[in-house]
Amino acid sequence: MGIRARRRQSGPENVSPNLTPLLDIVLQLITFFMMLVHFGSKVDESALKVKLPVAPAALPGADPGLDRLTVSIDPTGRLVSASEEVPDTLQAAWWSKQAAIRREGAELIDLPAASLSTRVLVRGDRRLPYGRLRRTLAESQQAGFERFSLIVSRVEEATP
Amino acid sequence: MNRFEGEPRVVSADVVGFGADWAAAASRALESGAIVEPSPESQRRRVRRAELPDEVAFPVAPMLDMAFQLLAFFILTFQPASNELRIDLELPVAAPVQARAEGGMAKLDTSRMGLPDLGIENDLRVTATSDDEGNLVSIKLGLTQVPDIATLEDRLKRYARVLENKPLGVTLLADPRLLYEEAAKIVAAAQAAGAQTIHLAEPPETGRPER
Repeated sequence: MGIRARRRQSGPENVSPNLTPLLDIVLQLITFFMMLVHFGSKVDESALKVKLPVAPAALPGADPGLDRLTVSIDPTGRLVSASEEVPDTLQAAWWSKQAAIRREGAELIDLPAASLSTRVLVRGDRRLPYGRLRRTLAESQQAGFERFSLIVSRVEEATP
Repeated sequence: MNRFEGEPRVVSADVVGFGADWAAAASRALESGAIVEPSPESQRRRVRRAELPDEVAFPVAPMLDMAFQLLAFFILTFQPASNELRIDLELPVAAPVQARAEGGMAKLDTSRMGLPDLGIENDLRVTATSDDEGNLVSIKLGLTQVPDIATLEDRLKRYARVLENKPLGVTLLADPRLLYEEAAKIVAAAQAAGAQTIHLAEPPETGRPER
């Protein structure tokens, strides 16, 4: 009988690591990430990078829900939504088109289309004149949107 | 002489382990006094029992694989806390024009809301003026000058406390040249003070009237 056979006889038949503590830790990590998960509540970041105004007095607000429309407005009043740039002169038509799309969707699921439940998230640049912002809101109001959220920053963003 | 008299424990173990047939055979053998030999079947069962491991190990590895996949999913979909805040505005098209009531101070008709009428206005007007650069020059709450936005928020909070259950409304009349940053701070102060309705407007002489 060789050395190998003797070694096999003296050692245990099966050496298996104890995976239970590892499983415990992994399950705890899963619980941690599950409790922090929030699907679809992140504000969509448009292609246009804007410097949000700093207003720490504002409230975090509840989940805006999935029925939302995010628009960004740069200091000159240019409007960008989902990488689509809307010229100043066509903004009223663009709002009407967005409202029509949502009304059509509401009709398909038999919801009353009289008022739009879509929340418009407005990411306006801090250097934007107040009058220009108000004009944008008025145009969307005329199209039928009623619920708006102004996105502001809690702290001063670090300049890259 | 009965062979099992001196080994009662062996007999009882065999009876328990080998089932009713063996028990019946054993009892018959005991009664007749014959020597009972274990059958080949019972010997095989005894060997099989000796091969069983002492501990039954639960296979943890597949569960760990699944747990790792779940962990990877949650890590990949994890979103850190954002610094962004929201100021929610409800701006229906047919909003009643409260701020342009007599004297610039309007009263909501609370009788239809079932709220007590305290005899004080609950829709306040905040007027903000700016210079050509868009910087904030002055703030007025009603007709009273307010030094800064922090003071404005404090006064609005005190006013909201006086109103008790009546809803506080704030109408911002701001210069159209005012920078959005300053306007957002005023609107956020009104929201923090508990204003339930916030209207955005421009002074009649500079812009379109509020709808």
